[in-house]
Amino acid sequence: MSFIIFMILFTVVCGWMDTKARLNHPKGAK
Amino acid sequence: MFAGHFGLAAAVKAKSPEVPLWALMISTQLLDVVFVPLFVTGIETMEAVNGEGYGQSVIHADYSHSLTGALILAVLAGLLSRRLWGKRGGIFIAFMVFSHWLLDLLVHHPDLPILPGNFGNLPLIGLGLWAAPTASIAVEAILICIGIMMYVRSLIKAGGSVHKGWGLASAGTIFLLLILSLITDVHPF
Repeated sequence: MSFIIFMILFTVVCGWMDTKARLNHPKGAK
Repeated sequence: MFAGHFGLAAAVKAKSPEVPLWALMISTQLLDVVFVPLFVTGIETMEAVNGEGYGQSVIHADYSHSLTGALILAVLAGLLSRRLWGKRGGIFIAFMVFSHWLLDLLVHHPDLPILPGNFGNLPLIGLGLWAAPTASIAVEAILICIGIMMYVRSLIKAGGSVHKGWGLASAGTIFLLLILSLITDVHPF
């Protein structure tokens, strides 16, 4: 169960935050 | 190994800006992602040999964690990723998928087959670092530290193309989750 939780956290949450941090990404922060 | 794989993904992100972090995170754990449904259906199993503690299980993952199976998954993932993120991205993803097997080779008891289904009954392999839990945990901690350091350095090097606030939040969250994933692996709640 913890594997699934961490997979979701690393993939979705961290993946989303990393994308937001990249200003030259279409979905990055403006 | 668990947390160490995620640490490696954070490190490789620094070297592969074209590949999204979520893809690196999935690829580093793809063998375990494949293992889950096989475990649920009883095709692959785990056996606690010295109690339920960290690294105490012998894992019978004869398909997802065979050397051949890992190579096949790595190539397939790499070919798919190449369509999305180019040749270099595909190579990074293939490497990340296979790196899981290499790191597992280091820690697993000799339970990793060469061929899927342990066809041919070839000797099972694994260097068994889990038999020395302190050393195994140290290796995972080192991977975590290297991972977060390289990730943070890449954000700093990216300079004006990184939003400072989100960069800080991203690095902080990754670091916290890396630590938590190691702690919960060593001491499950």
